[in-house]
Amino acid sequence: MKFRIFRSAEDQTGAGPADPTEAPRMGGQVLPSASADEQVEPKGDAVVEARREDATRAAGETVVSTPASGPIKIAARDVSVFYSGKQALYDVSLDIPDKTVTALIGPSGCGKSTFLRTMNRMNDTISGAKVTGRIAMDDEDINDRSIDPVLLRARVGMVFQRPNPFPKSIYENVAYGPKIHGLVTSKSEMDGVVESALKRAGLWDEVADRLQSSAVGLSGGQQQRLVIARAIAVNPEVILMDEPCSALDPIATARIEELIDELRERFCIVIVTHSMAQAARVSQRTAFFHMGRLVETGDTEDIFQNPRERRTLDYITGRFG
Amino acid sequence: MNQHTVKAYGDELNQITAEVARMGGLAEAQVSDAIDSVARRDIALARAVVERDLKLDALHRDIEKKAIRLIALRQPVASDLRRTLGAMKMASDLERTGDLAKNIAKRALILAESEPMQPLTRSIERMGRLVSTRLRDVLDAYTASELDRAVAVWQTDDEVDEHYNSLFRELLTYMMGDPRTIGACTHLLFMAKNLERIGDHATNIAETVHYEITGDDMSGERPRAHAGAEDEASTPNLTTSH
Repeated sequence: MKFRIFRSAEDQTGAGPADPTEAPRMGGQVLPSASADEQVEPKGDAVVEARREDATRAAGETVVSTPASGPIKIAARDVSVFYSGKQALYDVSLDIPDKTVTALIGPSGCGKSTFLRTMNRMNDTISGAKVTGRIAMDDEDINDRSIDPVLLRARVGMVFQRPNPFPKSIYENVAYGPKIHGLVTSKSEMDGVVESALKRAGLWDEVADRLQSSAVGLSGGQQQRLVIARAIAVNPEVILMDEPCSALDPIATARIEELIDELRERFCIVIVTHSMAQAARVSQRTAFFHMGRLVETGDTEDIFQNPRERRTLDYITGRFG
Repeated sequence: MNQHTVKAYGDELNQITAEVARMGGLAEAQVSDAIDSVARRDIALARAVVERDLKLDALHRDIEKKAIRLIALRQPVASDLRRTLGAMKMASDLERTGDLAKNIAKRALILAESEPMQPLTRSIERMGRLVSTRLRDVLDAYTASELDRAVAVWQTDDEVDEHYNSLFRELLTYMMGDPRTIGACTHLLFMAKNLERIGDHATNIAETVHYEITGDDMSGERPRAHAGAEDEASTPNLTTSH
């Protein structure tokens, strides 16, 4: 007999823990549902509901998911994204734990960056983009009309692939956020905020004597750390990173990775990366996307040692296609 | 399993697996030839076994080198990593198996100089055949990635232990009956011990195959034969666990 390592779609029509939407759980405890209109139902009903839902799912849509430990910061439920009517993301349900690095991996065009952008409503800025489903941060719907996207983006900071410092001084780059959000009242307080943000980003020692020089004169790795300092200066809760090291050399990459590991103690970090080795190095949780769907999510060490989905295995071992 | 996008990576992995299979074939032949050399009192064959062990050692070093190189250059993960580490572990088990076969062959050379002891050598031969079969089964399970076959080998290790215990009793009876046979019997006893060890290596390989295929350790206690040689000789750890 050949041993079947991977669960086929049929195996999942039972009441398995595969679908996080069936009842959000943590350590065996059923958590209040994240969906807005759905009341907390008795567990039995929820399972029946999930079965019905599973039965109607197509084969490619099953999600292998092992629950995260620790409190959930962001809970996405059935999130779909359309660009000018074309669907880019299909019903993604994913729990993102707090004070943890979650890596989103998958081939180009798989929807990982699209999903990342839903978490601070970056898709709002793209005309023709539509987001459905619910994304809750601390049980609060971030797409709710009462939420100001500008304030949301202060709570959910973002770092991009190419460092994008403002063409201003190093000091002003970091001071910009606290200034516009009115977080500080005096010059000396601002000095303190800038210093501590630069220190936390591991850049202080390199720039302390030239805070007034232009940020554009810094090296790529320094610029990326400056951008991270700028993001953390406003005291966010979540930091989203979209391939933050892809334009950096290995040393600068290692410094950013070390920084991510330090920041994890205070923030919830979500990182999109094309480097599987980087996902394995920096993250505790990994979610694998393929063709706009979430395929598998679990602890990083499990995903990289023994993934349960064949597509995940093919991707991480370099056998795709 | 799909092909690696980088073909050279897939080729390197396959090459390591093929080399382990080749090493397995050679180790199997060494064990079976060593037993034949005892049974037939064949000096030439025993010498050949001793000489061929060098080849196993060389293969072992080569597999280790290739696996280390692959880890350094390709950073294998998941099933690829298990396959690479599995190859390294199996290569050491097979190398040890070869050493034990060589030791049997060396003792065959000494035994060939004394009087034949037909019934005893036949017992050794029977035990040897059993161990050879187990080794062949587990290696076949490895090359064909057949989990069931590997598990079957793992579960039947007690058969070898039983054989060993009864041979131990048989030899003891002989030695007590005629002290002049003590020298030869001691060699036969060591041969039995070596065969029992080879059986243990086959069990190790079964565990490696299981891990390689499933990513999980073998769970549960392996069945063992109790009340054996240990009790009668009142010396603990005669049957070395592994």
